[in-house]
Amino acid sequence: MNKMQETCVQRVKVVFFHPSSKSSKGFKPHCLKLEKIYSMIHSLQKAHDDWSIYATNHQIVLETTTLDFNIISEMLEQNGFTHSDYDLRVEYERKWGML
Amino acid sequence: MTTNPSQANPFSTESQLPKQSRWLGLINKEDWWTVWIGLFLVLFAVVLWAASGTIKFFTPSLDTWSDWASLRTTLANNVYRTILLFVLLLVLFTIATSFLKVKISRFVPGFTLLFVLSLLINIFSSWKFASKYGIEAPLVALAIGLILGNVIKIPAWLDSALRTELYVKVGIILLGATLPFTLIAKAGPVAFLQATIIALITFFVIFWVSKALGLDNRFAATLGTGGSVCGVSAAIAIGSSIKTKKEHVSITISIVVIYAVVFIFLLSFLIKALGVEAGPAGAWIGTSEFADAAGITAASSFGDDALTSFTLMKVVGRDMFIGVWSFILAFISITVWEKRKDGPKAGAKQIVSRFPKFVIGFFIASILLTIIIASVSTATQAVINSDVIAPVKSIRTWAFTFTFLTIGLTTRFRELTTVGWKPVVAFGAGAVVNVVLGYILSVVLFGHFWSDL
Repeated sequence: MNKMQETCVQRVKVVFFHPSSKSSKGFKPHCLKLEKIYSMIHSLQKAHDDWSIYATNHQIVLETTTLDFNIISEMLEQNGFTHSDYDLRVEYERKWGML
Repeated sequence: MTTNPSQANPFSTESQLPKQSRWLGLINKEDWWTVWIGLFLVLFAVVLWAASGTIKFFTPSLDTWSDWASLRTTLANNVYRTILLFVLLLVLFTIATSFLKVKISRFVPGFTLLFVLSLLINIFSSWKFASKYGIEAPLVALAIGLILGNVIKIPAWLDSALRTELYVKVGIILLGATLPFTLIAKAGPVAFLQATIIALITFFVIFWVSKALGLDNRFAATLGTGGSVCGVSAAIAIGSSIKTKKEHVSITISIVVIYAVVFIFLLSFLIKALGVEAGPAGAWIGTSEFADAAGITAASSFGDDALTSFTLMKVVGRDMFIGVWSFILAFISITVWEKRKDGPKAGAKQIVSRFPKFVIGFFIASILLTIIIASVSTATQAVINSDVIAPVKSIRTWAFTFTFLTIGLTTRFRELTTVGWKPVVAFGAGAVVNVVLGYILSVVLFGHFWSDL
């Protein structure tokens, strides 16, 4: 697809649940050891350099709008991480102010 | 902010990472800003009235004019009101967009030009010749926007002020202030029933035609909700919740935009050709238009009754339920299409998180004015109608005029995604069924209900 003709922006968040997390409603991946989270983040940063990293109450989040979520998913799988290790969230937005 | 973990392990202490509050969405999401601006304007009108003033001084009221002399007179009478309205809206929208990371240096000149163009459209709509020959200002604004947007390259500073969703949602919240909540409660169940019947049928037509043409499940579902629930907003919400491929969301948005703009003209033409009354006409548009902004444009051509029935049908009958659609389709996507047993499940909390926030503002505005009006004497009700509701309607008209222009200016065909014939055919099949069913339910079956609202 021609990049100039994209009508949406894809915002991807890779969410890790911090070991200090006490409780979380709904899905809660394994509370991984910090080393494993660090290892995943390191893999992601090696493959792509445009990430924002921040923490919320019980989560560590890597966010980007410049790498497709399918590539991220495949990359993490190739590095031996399963769906249970993280939560991959996708949010689309209008690229410009259309109806 | 970007942190590089290769420099040091950033998680030795959590405090080393920038923190993001869960409440940040209240100020960095456009949907919430529509609520803040819409409710501020309503409260501002109420407070001024309570202080024995009126927001009328912020709302120009152009008289019908037929020659230069009468035009000059009406403009001269409205100079200060027009400037006050411009300043009020400029301040509110600039604050909102600055939180949305739009540069103020770009937004201010962009909004100024948009306001001037809207003033010209409002001058045109009060021209005796235009009303005599039934030249509809919303369609003229749309056509002007379409021509400008597709002929000249829109500069970045103007583009930053072209925010269709922001203007239309503020307008809808202001419209809520003019609708008694009892009316919403009365029409809500019929709107929900009619909209649900048609949305389900349209969704399944698009979905199954897409499947028959070989499109994948997620693409089919994204197209289906785009055509049956709420257009681009639905495509984005569903695309996010079921993880549709980016190119498929992009294609769906392009198709929705093209069909929605074509349907503004098509539905307007059909309603006139079939002589449909304003109430059922609005309900039909509310059932068959994909996007709020496009529907408002079409319904505005048929007056206040059409706007009311359109809004009840679209906002109360359709838009409110996008979270439910997201949850159900996410559940189907994970359990049926992926057959995945590990990892995240479809969270019911998205029913709440994807609920369109402007609908909350719409209800609050309506409830607030309904309570105030119900608690005062008949004489005071007349004052409220004149000093609060009439000027709020006037500001609403301006918000909708911004919408008509921005739809045209942002529908830039050369920038839309190139789409194949299959999604176009699938979407078109659903759209045809939708229009026919919309006519049968809005005009034939429930015509009297929508006429008598």
